[in-house]
Amino acid sequence: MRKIYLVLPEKCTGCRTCELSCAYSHQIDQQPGTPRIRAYNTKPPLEKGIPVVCFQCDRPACQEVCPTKALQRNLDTGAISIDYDRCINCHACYAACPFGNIHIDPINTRVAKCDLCGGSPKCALFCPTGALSYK
Amino acid sequence: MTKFTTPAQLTDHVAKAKAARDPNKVRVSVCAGTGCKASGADALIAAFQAEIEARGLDVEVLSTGCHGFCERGPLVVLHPSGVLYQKVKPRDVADILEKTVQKGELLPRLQYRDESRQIFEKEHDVPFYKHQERIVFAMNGHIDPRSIDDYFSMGGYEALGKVVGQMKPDQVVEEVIASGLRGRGGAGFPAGWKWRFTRQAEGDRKYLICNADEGDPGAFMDRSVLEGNPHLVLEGMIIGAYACGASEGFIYVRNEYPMAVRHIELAIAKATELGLLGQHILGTDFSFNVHVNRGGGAFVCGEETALIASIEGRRGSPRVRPPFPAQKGLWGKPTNINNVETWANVPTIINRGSAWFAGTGTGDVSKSPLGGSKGTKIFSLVGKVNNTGLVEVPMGITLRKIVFDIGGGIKDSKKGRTFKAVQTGGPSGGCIPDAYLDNPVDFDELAKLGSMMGSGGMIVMDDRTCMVEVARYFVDFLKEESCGKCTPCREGLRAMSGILNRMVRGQGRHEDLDLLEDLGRTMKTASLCQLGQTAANPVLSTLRYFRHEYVEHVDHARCPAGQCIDLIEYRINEQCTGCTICAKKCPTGAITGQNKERHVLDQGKCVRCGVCFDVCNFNGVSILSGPEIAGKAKE
Amino acid sequence: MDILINGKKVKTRKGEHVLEVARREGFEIPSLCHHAALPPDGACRLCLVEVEGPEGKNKVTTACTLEVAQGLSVRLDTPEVAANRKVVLEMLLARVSDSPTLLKLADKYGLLEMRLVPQGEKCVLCGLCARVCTELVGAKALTMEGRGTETYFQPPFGEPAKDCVGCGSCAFVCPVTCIEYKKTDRTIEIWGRTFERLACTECGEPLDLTPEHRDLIRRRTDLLTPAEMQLCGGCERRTTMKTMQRVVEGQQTLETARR
Ligand SMILES: Cc1cc2nc3c(=O)[nH]c(=O)nc-3n(C[C@H](O)[C@H](O)[C@H](O)COP(=O)(O)O)c2cc1C
Ligand code: SF4
Ligand code: SF4
Ligand code: FES
Repeated sequence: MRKIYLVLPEKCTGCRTCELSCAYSHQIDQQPGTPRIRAYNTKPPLEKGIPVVCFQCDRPACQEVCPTKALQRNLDTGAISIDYDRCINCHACYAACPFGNIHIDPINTRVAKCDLCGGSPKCALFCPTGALSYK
Repeated sequence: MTKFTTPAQLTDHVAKAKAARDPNKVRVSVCAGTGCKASGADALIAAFQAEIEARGLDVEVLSTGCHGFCERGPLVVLHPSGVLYQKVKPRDVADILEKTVQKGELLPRLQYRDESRQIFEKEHDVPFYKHQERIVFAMNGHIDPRSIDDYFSMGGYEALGKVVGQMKPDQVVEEVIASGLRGRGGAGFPAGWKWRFTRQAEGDRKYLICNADEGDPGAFMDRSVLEGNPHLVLEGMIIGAYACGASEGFIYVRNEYPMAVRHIELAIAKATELGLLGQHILGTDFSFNVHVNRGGGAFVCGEETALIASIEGRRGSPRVRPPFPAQKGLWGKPTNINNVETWANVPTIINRGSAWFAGTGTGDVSKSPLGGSKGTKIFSLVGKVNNTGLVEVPMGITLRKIVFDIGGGIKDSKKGRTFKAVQTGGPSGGCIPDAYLDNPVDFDELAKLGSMMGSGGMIVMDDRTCMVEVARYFVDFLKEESCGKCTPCREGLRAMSGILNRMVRGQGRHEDLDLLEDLGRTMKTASLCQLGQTAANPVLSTLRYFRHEYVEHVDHARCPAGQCIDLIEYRINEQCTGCTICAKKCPTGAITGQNKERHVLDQGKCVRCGVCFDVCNFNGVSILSGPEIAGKAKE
Repeated sequence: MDILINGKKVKTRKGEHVLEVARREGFEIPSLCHHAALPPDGACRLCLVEVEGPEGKNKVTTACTLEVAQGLSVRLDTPEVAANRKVVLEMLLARVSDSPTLLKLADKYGLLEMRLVPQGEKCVLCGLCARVCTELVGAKALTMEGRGTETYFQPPFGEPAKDCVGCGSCAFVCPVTCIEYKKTDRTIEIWGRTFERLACTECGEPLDLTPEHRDLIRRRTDLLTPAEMQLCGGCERRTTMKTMQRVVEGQQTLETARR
């Protein structure tokens, strides 16, 4: 059975370990990349964090607008991942994602999104509170 | 005439029309091909018509397609006697009718004479025609291309009646395969095989194309066939459509051929009217329509995939094959594309049978059409021969026969000009030297010699032709005509052009010879389409047979043929009789001298046009080159 | 279907071409005009390989256009391949002498001596820009113009590209990065045009998106309402975050949040 990436925002403390682990596991030219997940600190009354990461939507807008079919669902992990050989960096997916979950990495100016680390998401691995899990 | 509704009706009609043609009727056949039109054929025809009417004669004037000997136009042949008159003017008409037609006297002033001033009376005795064998051109000269009745009367559309009435499509395909007919447009691929591929390919629609782009400079055989006998091509295509299962056909004619377009459009209209084209041809389930497309005239648009792109309205660039057009052609559908001359052979093959056709030419095609070359090929014979024009010769004829018998030998041979090479195959063909003059002309033999059949260009070169300059000329042409898409063709031609242009100015280096060969090999192996794959032929073949000329250019800045103007000097020698003709003809006034005294040439004023050399009757002008020119030798 | 590459048996699927198969298997073949998202074009002629034919009749051809077939056996580094590839490289390097991409290839494939006259061009005429723009982006802003050595990929007639949407894909795929593409805070400049960058309606930050490109993207899907594609990534995420917060706080159900 395919695993499920589960976000429990109520457990998140906003420590941003996920961001760090993401940045280091997606290095570009031996530099940490821009994290594909963001843990926002909310304002009171609820003093805590909310992680925002790709939902791997059932009907992804990014995939629909990609002119090269570079965005495909990885059937093992369930992630919509970018085939960089096909990608022409037109930024259509970046423009189309309604949730802001595709960004352009300033290091190489290429579009990037969560790929569930090919099946072992580092954010979930390092999340100290259990807000992120993959099982 | 009404629509034919059964094949039998057509066959009947043709038989009657053939029987009704009176072979003894007096006909004046005036060539109205583009060449003769340019020299005044229209006025001549009008003059004949008026004069015949005025005299009340029972004589038919035929305005026919090209007879091939355009250089001597306008041409007139009197039938049934076969008397040939050349360079006929309207003022000769009365004489011809009165003296020759009515009294049987000949008019020597209009008769053809060869270089030795021998007169030839009949068309078929003239050496230019005598050694030809006419299958495709058989009716040119006997019919008015605008008249379908003339075509019927020569047995036209008999083959179509036979095919639709008595043969299954597969039988037609097998018949063409058995005949050994190979494509006349360049590569010589077996036509029947291509038909079979198209027939067997999957597709709800199939198309036919007739390639009449004819981009080779100086070639006009396809034009002459279309202009002179459009129904022959059309009949071939209809038979091909029946065999391939095609429902639509396109004739891609270059824009510069307005008469060909007019004649083929007329033929299409007439054939449609009579039920030979359109829906339910001859009352059967077979339907076929033909359209005419006008091409922009780029050389590369003759390449089949570029041509297809052009018909589809895209840029005429070749694409990678496979898939071949027979699998994926026009709009992705199976498409069979053949050259004009290929199509024009089909009706005769059906009429006379594949065994007859396979019995002609060279080799044995019983196992595969690639085993030999069958039938005839039309060449456009030009260059330094006495007789130039279109010649249809049997496959297997020797180059010598074409050049020396049909072509009447080298021009100005009295002044010492001799044969050096013959270039076949159009701009990307190769040059063949005299050692191979007795080799038979066919697809495989020419390829072995480093040249090709191409679509039939044949340029004869004499000893005054510099082979480096020849290579430079063709490379520069191809450099402009390459589609520019792939690296070896585009950049290879650019590099070759740079090198050769240096060489003819005497700035070549010895290493350039290896470099040319290196470039040529890669162009041949690595180019995308045949343009690039063959574009090095002019260079490689001249390097192969005339390497010494290259060596002279690069090592001694010497042009042995005396053609490269930067490397030569004209000098007036002691043979000069002081006839003054060169001084009169020199465009820059560089030559001075008294009557009967040796003339002097001022090198400062000389532009090296060579007029003095050409006009001198006493060998009084010599051409110096390289070290022979004092102070100009390359150190 | 199995084929042999340098004698090694590799698995392929029908319709694949040798270049992609070989690269997947870790073999190296140089190329300029190949792109995984486009059908092969065979323009640069760098990806030469040798196909083994019957009776030693081998044929050098381009790997990008060579479809896999039963019994196909190719070799990547025969003397024939190496010699011809070197000359093709030499031709390319004569055309564009200062391209690091080409210089690296020349180094790698042993091109030591340049015998041809440098042409001082910038573009290698691989055609990727026009093919990407036409076949993928769909803007059709670039065409191949001219013929022979005077061939150019450019907007029609070399004028400012009237159909360009400023997406920059052409500049991105260009193997010798010769397309001038300039991004300022407010504008994107390419092919003689200057495009306004859209600005985030929330924070004003410039987006990597022009209005023309946005309109083109919208035509590809019915998912995007006009309200979308107005915010920068950060503001979009914060909106997402707020929605999630409301769900967590029980102010909104997951169903309404999903729309
Ligand atoms: C550069 C180039 C130019 C060509 N030009 C012509 C042409 O003008 N006419 C023609 O019939 N075939 C031309 N061909 C050959 C065609 O590609 C094609 O082989 C031919 O039309 C097929 O007909 P066939 O089998 O009857 O010869 C050309 C090929 C190349 C590579
Ligand atoms: S060989 Fe020449 S004409 Fe043919 S595709 Fe290449 S560049 Fe174009
Ligand atoms: S930037 Fe313009 S020319 Fe380049 S791919 Fe995008 S739309 Fe086409
Ligand atoms: S990648 Fe194969 S020809 Fe360019």
